[in-house]
Amino acid sequence: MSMVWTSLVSGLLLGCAYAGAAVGLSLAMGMARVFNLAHTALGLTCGYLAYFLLTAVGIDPLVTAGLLAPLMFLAGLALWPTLFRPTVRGVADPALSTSILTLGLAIALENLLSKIWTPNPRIITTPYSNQALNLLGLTAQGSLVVAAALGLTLLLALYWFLNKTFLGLAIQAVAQEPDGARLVGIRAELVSMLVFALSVGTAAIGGVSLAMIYSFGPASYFDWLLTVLLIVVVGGAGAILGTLASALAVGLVLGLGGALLPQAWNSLILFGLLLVILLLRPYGLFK
Amino acid sequence: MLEVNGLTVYYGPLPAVREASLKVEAGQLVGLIGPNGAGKTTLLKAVSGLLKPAAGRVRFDGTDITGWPAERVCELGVVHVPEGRKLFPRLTVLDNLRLGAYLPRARAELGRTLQEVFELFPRLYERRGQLAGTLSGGEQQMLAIGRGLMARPKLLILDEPTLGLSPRLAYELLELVKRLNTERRLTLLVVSQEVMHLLRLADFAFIMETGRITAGAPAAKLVSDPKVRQVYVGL
Amino acid sequence: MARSTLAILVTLGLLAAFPYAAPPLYTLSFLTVVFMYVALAESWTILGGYAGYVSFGHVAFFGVGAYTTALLLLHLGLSPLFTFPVGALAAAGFAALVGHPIVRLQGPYFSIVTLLIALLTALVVKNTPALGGTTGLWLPLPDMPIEVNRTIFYWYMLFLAAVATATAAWVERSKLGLGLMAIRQNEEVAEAAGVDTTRLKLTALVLSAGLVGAVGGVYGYLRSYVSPEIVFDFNIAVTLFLMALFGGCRRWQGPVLGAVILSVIGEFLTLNIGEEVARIVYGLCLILVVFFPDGLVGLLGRLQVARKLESGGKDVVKR
Repeated sequence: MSMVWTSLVSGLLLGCAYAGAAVGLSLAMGMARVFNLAHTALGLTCGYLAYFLLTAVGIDPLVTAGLLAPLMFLAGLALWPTLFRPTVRGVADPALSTSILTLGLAIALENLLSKIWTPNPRIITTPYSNQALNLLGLTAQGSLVVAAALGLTLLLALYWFLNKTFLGLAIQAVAQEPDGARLVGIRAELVSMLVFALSVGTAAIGGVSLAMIYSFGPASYFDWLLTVLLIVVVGGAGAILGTLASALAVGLVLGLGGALLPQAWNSLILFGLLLVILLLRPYGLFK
Repeated sequence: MLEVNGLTVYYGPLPAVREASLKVEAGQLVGLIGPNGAGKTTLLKAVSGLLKPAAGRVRFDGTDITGWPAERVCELGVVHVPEGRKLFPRLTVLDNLRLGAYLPRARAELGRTLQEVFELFPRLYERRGQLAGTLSGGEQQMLAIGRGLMARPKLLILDEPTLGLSPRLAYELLELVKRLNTERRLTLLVVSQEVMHLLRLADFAFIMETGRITAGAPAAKLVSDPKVRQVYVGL
Repeated sequence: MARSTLAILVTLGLLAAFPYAAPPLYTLSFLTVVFMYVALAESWTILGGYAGYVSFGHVAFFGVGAYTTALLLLHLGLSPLFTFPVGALAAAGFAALVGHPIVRLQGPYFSIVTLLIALLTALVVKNTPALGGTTGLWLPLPDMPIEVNRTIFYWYMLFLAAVATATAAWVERSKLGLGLMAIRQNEEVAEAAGVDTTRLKLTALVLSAGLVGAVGGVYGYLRSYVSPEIVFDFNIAVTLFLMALFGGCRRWQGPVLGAVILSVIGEFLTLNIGEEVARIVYGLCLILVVFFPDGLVGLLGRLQVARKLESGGKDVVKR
């Protein structure tokens, strides 16, 4: 019985970590209108970098995440005008184009990681990774707690930013009614670029979070992508709190399912669910 | 203040606006009337920067703003309250208004302007915490105008502010618009289906038909023009 | 038109006769794979290029075809070399089954859903012991010397490549093709004009799936081994539509070009630097393709037009 409770707690923590990984994609899809299929691949790359810095120089992954997030943000700023604006502007179906483009990026990244670090699975082990922490009488793994804290903090910070700052409101405005936003003087283009850069920056944090929990290989980005996509689709692209709610739900399924069902069923249930949802909401998340 | 010369704007492959010219002098309330599909909205969009004209010039206070993007045009003080209002539906009334003062020029006076707008539209104050998408048609229209006022405009362009409103609300709204013009010296360019009322309130008016400006005269003259009465009021 | 048909027939004849020149086995195998990708890319183009419905998970049909012929071989002793049409039918049937709901989807949603279908199919197979589960199914090698073995598969893939290409070319010129391209230009307008978009899309999907299933049916036998990793391989899924996009997926000539060029580049890189680098290049090509939606064929077409304008100008000057 206590095993169920522990799985529940682990599931919720896992959900928090996934929330951090998913929120960026939610922003990208919901507000910048970019189907960034490379979101988790970018995150995985940061996970590898965290692993590298930890094993080579002893730097804690949290520090790496803090360093990589702003760097990835800048990378996102650079990427937007060069890669995304030309495609998104002139093409008949920009969402499809960005999907293909980012898929290509993900594949290139995966193979780059494989070339550098080989396909062997890697694990991030910090002094606190395997510590059993005591949460209200239940035990939880140290790395899971840290990753969850990271994800949750990120999510709350983004929520505060989007709802309590002028710029955050402007971002929401552009997402809801771009022409209306322009008419009050908001530079919609710049805002979209900002949101995308933000999304890429958070991918770094999300990637390091997941890398701290799971053993990972170059191909891990794929499963992470589908899980994150499920979270975004269920929670609603662009909805921060919705992302948290659906991430917690998914985390619970993974946590409880992992304990009660054979591994293969987990994937089947989750991805089957994603399929069903996408079929039932064919017009997706954009009106 | 606003000078439009020979403007041509395409809507897809067809010219929706052909060589249109009009003028709005400072302090005036100018009406733009015409049948549905005449191109009035397209013309206004080309002025405010939502659309790019294919030919012609738009000048505001001497500055050539032809083809400028909407964000820049707004910075100069030309505020367009569009047809369909284009409010931010999932943000509150208060946030919609605050965003109206996004530009630094307007943000500096946000508090004062907000108070003014709430005085003008007490109903908005009551509903300030409500999501804009849940307001009634009339309230949304008030919010749209309020948001426009938050930008402290020099020229306020209103595209069909009375659409979908009850006759009484439409009447009151246009009276309010007139008061903005007379009491606050706000220059206005208004498109409205309430042709006769608008003509009675306006200083000057232009008629637009199938993309062209076919007439421009003091509003008083047009009010008594038999053709206007016949076509637009069905008398 | 007759001249290019002759050229094509001559090329096919030469390719078919090639094994008699006793080439190295490696070359035969490589060309076999090239032909396979030509067949796959051409089949994909019928739906992806002409109609604009980009399927990320076409490999699902490939796998269905492979497993069908494998099972027929293992349980009924029938050689895939004869049963591959059944593989095609199975794949087509599968497409017809899943087609209705998915064909309603737009753009990237369609793409992602096809990917999910491929993934789920693979997962189901992995968890079904009767289908060999994760370990897969070992197929007995045909009893013959290896040169003959390789040559037969070479001819089969050449045949399938020719069939797929001919089908794509035929569709391109048919009413079906016209309808599909109208769908790609503007589906709403096409619907308003009375085009039965659902039926056309389903037809394209089923046709495309069937062809891919045939290829899969032969491929399993070629490898003598069928497993989820091999026949539902994400790499195959991406490579086949990359080749179509790269070569140009609006005309039937594109996928052939794309398959040949990318296969050569990929093989060269794999042999000399490594497989990962080849795939990195493929990934980068996928990014590149987004900027050239008409692919190589489109680029060449524009060059031709530019050159014609140039020479046309010179003629005017001479006069």
